[in-house]
Amino acid sequence: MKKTFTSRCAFSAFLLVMLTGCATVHTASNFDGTKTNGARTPRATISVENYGYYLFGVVPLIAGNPLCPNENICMMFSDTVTLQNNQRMLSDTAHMFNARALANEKTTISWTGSFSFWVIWRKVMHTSAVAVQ
Amino acid sequence: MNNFVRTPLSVLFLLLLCAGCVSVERTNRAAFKQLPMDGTCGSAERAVHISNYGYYFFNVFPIMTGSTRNGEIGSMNWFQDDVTLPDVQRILVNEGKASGTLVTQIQPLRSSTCFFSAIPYIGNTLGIVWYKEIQLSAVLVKPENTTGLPQ
Repeated sequence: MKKTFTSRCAFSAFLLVMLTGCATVHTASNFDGTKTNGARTPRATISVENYGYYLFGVVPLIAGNPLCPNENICMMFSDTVTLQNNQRMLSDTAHMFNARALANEKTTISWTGSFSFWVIWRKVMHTSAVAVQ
Repeated sequence: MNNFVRTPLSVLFLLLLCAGCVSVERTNRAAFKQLPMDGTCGSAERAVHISNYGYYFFNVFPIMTGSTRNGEIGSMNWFQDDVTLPDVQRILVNEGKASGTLVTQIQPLRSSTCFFSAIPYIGNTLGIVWYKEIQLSAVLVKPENTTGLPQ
């Protein structure tokens, strides 16, 4: 009885961890009038991240919803962890800050599979840039 | 698990481990929502992300790496080191030349991780098999003038 309860709790926690916060956008606009390396005024540093879980690193199981970042909404069996989606989230956020250009753009991808003995893989794509006026 | 299940699974695991070491991912122009890159004269055409990885003995001797040679992208090399910054950058430069764009915002990332160690949990010092990866991200910009040089 106790064992069943514990395993259910562990499974629920695992599901929650898997489903929480797949697509996120973080911004920082506290430049206090400082300039970056260019002549333009920086509006915000934008960090976009999306991750998903893949069977054998190929078949998408759960991935973040790039249309609703920061809302803990995931999509099933759909490969949304793509450069196209990250770039779109980045550009949308830059427009929210009335930016006219992007600078210092960078994208990294990381794959992890050891947590499940390489059956389920986690793909994380991170794109960052500085939105400038 | 009986052999009937185990053998195909190990073959599948090996295939997945070996397949597609080089990957090239691109966006289209619409993803930029008409935002240009700072310091460039022209419109952002596409973002590109290239990565290549391989496995090494003692982090030095290549066992298997992704091939970056023309026409061989997607295949793998045995005992040949293609996980180098010049090799990965060649793919990026070819991409820029083929599309007639300027390559901007080049950002490299190099990482190596111990995959199999003689003494687990002691750190990477006694690592036998290593995983090495190089990533390169960039933004291709369509120049405003025909020469490709800023005016």
